[in-house]
Amino acid sequence: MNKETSISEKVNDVICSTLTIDSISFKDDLIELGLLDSLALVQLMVEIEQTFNIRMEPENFDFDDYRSVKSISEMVIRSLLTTPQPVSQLQ
Amino acid sequence: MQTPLSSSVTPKTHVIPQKKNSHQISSLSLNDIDAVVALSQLYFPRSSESTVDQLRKSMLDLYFENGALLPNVSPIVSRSANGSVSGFLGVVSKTFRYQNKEVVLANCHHLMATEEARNHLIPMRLLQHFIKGPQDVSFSDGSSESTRLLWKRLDGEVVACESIYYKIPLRPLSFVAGFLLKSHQNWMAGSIRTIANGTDTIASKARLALFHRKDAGIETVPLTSDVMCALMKKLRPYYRLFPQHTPHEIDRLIRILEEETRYGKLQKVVLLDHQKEAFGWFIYYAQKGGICEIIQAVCLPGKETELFRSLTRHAYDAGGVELSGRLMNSQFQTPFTKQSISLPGRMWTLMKSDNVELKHTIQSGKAFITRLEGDLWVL
Repeated sequence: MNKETSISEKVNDVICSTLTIDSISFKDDLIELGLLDSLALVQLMVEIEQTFNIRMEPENFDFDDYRSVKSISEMVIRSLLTTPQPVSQLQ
Repeated sequence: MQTPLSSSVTPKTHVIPQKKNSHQISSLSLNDIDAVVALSQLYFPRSSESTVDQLRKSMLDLYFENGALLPNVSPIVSRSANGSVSGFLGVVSKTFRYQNKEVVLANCHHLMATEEARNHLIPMRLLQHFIKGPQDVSFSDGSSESTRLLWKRLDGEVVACESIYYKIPLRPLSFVAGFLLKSHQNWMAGSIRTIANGTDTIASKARLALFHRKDAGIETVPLTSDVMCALMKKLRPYYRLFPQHTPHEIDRLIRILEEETRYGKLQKVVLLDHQKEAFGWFIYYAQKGGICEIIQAVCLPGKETELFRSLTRHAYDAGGVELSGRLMNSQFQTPFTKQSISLPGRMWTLMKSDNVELKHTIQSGKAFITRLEGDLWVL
């Protein structure tokens, strides 16, 4: 399993547990589907930060980053690239 | 990138409606007022106590003058695809003086959104839109824990010294009885209240009540905007960030306060010392049930004890059971903290600014922002 897939799966798990859903597809739009309200978004951000040990800087905050497993995974990868992490945390 | 995940969403707890995210955010216009009033009555329980006409008038007074939006920073609404108002964030702004420069502080309040808009993150979008406005400092005052969480995510911070709410029991037995009976309403409630009120009255007549001292020589007279402006000039040297006011603006704010009847009768008093010099004022609402909500309690430095005594005495005489309000930085280590019950975090004062100096000034209590409370930014 490559690193990106691993991240996507973890993101998927975080979304499912935070939003109490069983599963979601890679490109499903969380906002379009009405799955996220503002507080759920904050909760999701916190969970993502804790899971990947990253800090999402408020000045870079963009709603579109939180639309799907795909966009969140991409954002996590960007964050990980800008803040180098131990390899063990990515697996 | 691979897509190893399932291809459909399966909710555990609810059916997911399909929605389009087409909400647009724009400035409030006169045509939106009725829709905002309807939202307010729906989502703010206290608003339902006012008639539609009262709420409309209050919003027109607060946001518009002669039909035009007040300058600087305006309230915002979100609209759904069909153009109907789906969310609202009230905004009032004020010009302050900071080291010979003018700066604009804006306070947001009454964040509300329809159920459908909430699923499109409208509350957070409205806050983000507001924060990105042209003002030097953004505030959200009297905020809930939910708003605090959103605000922090938008890079905002809590103003700790402005976030302490306090309660001062004026009739201690009635205060305790009221507190206990809130959660235990039964047939005995009326009797217990009567006994507590009676005991408090006897205690007061026997001069046993806690807050019955009145400083000799201190006079209380009705507050006027001219006296308030004159006293503000005396207060200005003690603060680094201070509001710029005209008597006309203060008149307008006090008129709005007086017309607001949901919170009780407005009491506004100025304190005069032995030489008949004004040294402080207080403004509060006295509700029928004895709850007195302070809008402002302000005095020259060193006069906090006199202010406290005059205020508590005045509220007691007005039939108050308890006084509650927000602590000012200058009131730490005075009777306002020593003889009250502090409730930190019950209401948050939140701030966002890119100006480090302004942030530091506000966080260190050197800004005269006193009480902003919801839909009114008095000073």
